Amino acid sequence: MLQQKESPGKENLEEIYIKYVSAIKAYLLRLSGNPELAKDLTQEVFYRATRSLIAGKKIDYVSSWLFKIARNLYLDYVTRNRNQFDTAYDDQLLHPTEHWGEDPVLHYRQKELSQEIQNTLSKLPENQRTVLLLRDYHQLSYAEVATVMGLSISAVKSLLFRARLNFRHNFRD
Amino acid sequence: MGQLTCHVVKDLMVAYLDGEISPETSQEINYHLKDCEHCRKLVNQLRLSPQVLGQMEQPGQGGAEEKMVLHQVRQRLLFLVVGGALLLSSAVGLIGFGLFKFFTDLGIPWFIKLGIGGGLLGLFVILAGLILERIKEQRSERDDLGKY
Repeated sequence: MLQQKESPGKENLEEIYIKYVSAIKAYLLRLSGNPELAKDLTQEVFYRATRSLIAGKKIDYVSSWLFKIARNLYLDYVTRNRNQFDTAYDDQLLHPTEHWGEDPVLHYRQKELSQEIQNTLSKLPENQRTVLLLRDYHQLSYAEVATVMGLSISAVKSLLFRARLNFRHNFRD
Repeated sequence: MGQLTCHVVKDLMVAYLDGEISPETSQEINYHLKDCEHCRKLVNQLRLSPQVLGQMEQPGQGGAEEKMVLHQVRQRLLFLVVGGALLLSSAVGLIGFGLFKFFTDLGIPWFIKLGIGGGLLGLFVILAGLILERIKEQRSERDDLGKY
């Protein structure tokens, strides 16, 4: 879904961006565990992305580029708010994208699973969280993850190895 | 078979699970895993995250909420552009008016006009140079996604 190559012209910019709004928001939500922050940063991501394009920046992969802006904004935020940074999250964030459907049992299970995933992720360092989200949730290619994180492909693989192992050790622990 | 060492298998494990290696190598790893309990255990541990994260609901595309976000972005940009344009036009107007008054004022000696005129021209040349440099940089920045 997120892997196609697209070069945005002004006329279809919005059509392209609209496909990624939820993905970026879901990433930021999982990364930060903070729904309010995710909402604010999502808007900021698209604001900056549009501004850069107006300024004439050339983009090869829209998805990697947007994820990269999102990650940088989050890291800036964490650096700025180091003292009062709080990974606490509330119940709401566990519906990253609206509804879970009608089935109450399924709804409950999804919610529980979602909570467990969030608990596990919050125990991992930021780069491990990001690599897991981009690869295992958003299903970006190694090359795209490498672009977002500024790493080589082999570095992505070894980070992914450590992150998946770490995830396993912290899940339902 | 089973020619691969644990060390090599470990290096290939992530790509193996993601289906990013050749079928031949994959087969070799399968042979190794049959015989090696340690690696088998490790592989199973690595399977969890893609499995669990892949089960989560995928983000939607292009709903009302997304349109709202982009709408707000557009508004912010509009304010920026309109505000900037107004500011620029008033600055240009003021400066132009000031310069016109200055150079047409017969009470100011010609050498002062010449000095200030030369200084302004120098400033203009420097600015033009900087802008040209910036444009060149942007052209070569094509693949550099490092900044936002």
